[in-house]
Amino acid sequence: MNLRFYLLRRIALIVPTLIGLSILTFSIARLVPGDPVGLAAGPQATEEIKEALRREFGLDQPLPAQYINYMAGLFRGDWGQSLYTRRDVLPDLRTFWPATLELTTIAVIIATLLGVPAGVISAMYRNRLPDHVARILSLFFVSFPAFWLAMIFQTWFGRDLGMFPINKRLPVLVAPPPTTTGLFLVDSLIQLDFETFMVSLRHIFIPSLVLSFSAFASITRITRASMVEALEKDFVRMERAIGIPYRIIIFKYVLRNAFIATITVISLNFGWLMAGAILIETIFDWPGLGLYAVHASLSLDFQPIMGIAFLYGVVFSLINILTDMVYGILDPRIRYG
Amino acid sequence: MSKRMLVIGLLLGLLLIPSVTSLAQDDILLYGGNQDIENIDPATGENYSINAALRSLYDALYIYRGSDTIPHLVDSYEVNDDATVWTFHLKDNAVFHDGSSVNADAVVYSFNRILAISGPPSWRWATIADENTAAAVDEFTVQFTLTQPYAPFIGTLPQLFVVNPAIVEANLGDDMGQSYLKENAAGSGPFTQGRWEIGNLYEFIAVDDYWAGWTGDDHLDGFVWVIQRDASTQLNSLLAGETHIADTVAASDKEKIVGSEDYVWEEHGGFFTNTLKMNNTGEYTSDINLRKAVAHAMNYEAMVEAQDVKITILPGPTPANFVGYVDGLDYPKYDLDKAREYLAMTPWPDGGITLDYVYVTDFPREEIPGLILLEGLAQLNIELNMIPMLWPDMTASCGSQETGPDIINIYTLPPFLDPDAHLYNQYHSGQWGSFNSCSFYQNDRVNELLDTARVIGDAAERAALYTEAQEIIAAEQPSVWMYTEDSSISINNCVKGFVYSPMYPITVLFQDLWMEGC
Repeated sequence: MNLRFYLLRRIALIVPTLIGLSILTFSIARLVPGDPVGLAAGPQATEEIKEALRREFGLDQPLPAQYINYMAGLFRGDWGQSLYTRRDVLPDLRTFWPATLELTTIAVIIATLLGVPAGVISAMYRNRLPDHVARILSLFFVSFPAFWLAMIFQTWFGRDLGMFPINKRLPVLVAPPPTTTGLFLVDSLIQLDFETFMVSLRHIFIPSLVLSFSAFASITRITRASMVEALEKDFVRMERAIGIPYRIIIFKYVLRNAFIATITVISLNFGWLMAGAILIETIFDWPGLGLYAVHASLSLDFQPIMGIAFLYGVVFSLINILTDMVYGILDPRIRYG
Repeated sequence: MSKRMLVIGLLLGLLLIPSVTSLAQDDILLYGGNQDIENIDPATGENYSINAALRSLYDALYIYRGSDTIPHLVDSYEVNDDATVWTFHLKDNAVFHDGSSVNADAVVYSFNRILAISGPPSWRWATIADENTAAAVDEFTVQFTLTQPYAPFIGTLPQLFVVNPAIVEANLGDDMGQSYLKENAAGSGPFTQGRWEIGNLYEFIAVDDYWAGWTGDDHLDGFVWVIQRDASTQLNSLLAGETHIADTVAASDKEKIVGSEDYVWEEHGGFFTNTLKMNNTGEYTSDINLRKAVAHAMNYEAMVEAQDVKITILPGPTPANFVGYVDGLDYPKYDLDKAREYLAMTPWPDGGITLDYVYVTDFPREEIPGLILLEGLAQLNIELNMIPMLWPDMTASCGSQETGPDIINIYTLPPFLDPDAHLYNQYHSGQWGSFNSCSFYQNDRVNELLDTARVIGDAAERAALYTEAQEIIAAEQPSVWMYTEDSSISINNCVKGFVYSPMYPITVLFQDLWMEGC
């Protein structure tokens, strides 16, 4: 099977996955007890006011009709409106999603840049001091709650030492760069606005560093385990026997073999961090999708909940496809089928 | 390798260079607000942050300053004897931001738009007004002919923000301008909109020649509402000089503010009232003696110690600092002997029953009173079943008597300064279905008193009716009256002009503030 056909098949498979996801999300959002209309209408609202709101949002119709109406709107590009904020969902997702994507991407980059070398060193010096240090660090970062570390880092580096900003993507009185992608680092570079780029980098550094800690731990541990396993393979002994330098064996042959598992963990972490960025977004006032999602969930705001589930469904599916493709690049023996 | 390290070192060094961009400008106030401003349409938006924005962008007929309701667009008014016809003479110098006059037609248009849309703010007028209620008598005189008498009418008018009809009509769409007005102002207020970054920050720019003038020695050039949801972030931003006001710093951090000469911790008694509503139609809590027993098993003093905010125990149905408070009511105190006496008069003299206690999930301020009550009721051999719930589920449970929990912890804030605002929605049986009336209390005499007090204009007569109603309510103990929370807000000393208003306890009246040496 060639790559193009494989890709088309995987992308086509996203459609039934998303339909299944939409049914599941719709059922959970609509069948749990709760009165989102009462909440949106306010504590003093009369029954007439609530009824008007139900009519306006089509919530007075039977559930199957509501689902069909929602899906029909979705394919027309109408992702509905928030019951609570009255804003359209799609523009909201466009507003909040890039902030989370930027934060998560930088976090994954940091975790990979730190985690892979740590895992390699750990494997190379197995059961010696560098290995112990890397394993203790992994244990520390995976054990401590991210929100606690976030508050500590914010207080030390932001408030007490003044080395980094306390919150937000940019200083309050600095306007964001003109939007092309919504990613401030990218948009400022597109404008060749290096000052905004540096300011933006300073703002994202601590939040993404803290967010990267749990991913760092898992990347380190899986890289170490895969490396240890690969180091015991026959080809390594043979390469050492014929005198290939150890560094070349490690980075050119062993790491490449071990990296399949690491890539899986990196891609999984990308999804997990995106979904779990909420605490970091809250503490650093990062205007991302996490906060939006939590607010929507707590107020049972049906349309945003559906929109977020869809977006994450698409993103997870695409990450999985991308990961499969990278497998093939790393190991040509892997065939798409 | 050393070159690589050098590049990494340089990059990290660049990160550490402080930004050359100034974080603060002299007269732009940076406000750390816990809540988003989701919508600025006066017909559909209403909560503490939205109202702070509406007060800044629009003008209303009346405004709250301190504890007073003060005429704002209104110059004078008359009302007939049965409180059905209210005539307001408007100031003739009020102008919208586009220079057009804020006249009677604009008031009528705004009022009718709110009624027609039936959004959250409309509950104030939904039962006393229709499309014929408001009429322009002349350019600056507007008359409201209510469908039924309503004495507290003026109390509702600080929420009647006047929109510019020309702007709304130009952006009417198919939803009466809602799509436009939820993010764009059409007002006459002291500020206009600046940068408007949804979910992040909102900038307000002062109108230098604001028609009503500025009340302070000076005024702000503008302010930015910076969304900061986490209390520790609010504290850190304030102490680092990145904001001038933080509206939700945790009480446990009070010492960090009070201990500094640069900041002030404003703490005032408020009307934010906590009660345990007992389902008066429930299997057990329909028994008045059981309700009294529960109320006497609550250790109120322990609660003062246990809560992480300063609280004042309620001396009956109405807070002592609220209009309509009746002094000298016999309200319950923690007394287990008395609780046992009341329990002995119930069908369950030895206890042996279980009551459900519902509170908001992961909200210690509601969980702690439950735990204190649990300990008290255990002395009576009554088990308290602690049930955490999400807020939408709690409001849904209050929808009917059958689903109403035995005991539910509810916070209420009276929406205007009148006894009606506090008592009607909690104790009139016509309000059943709302979480405010989750005690499902019904007393025909109380209904009659509350209805009558709505329709007479004489203040003394009304006060007498509210006194009688509260005496009955106190005797029947539909709820356990818990406490009011004191409000606190942290302010940089360079901000001047702050006057606390219990009607917006979490925020400030920006138009009255100015800055000196910030």
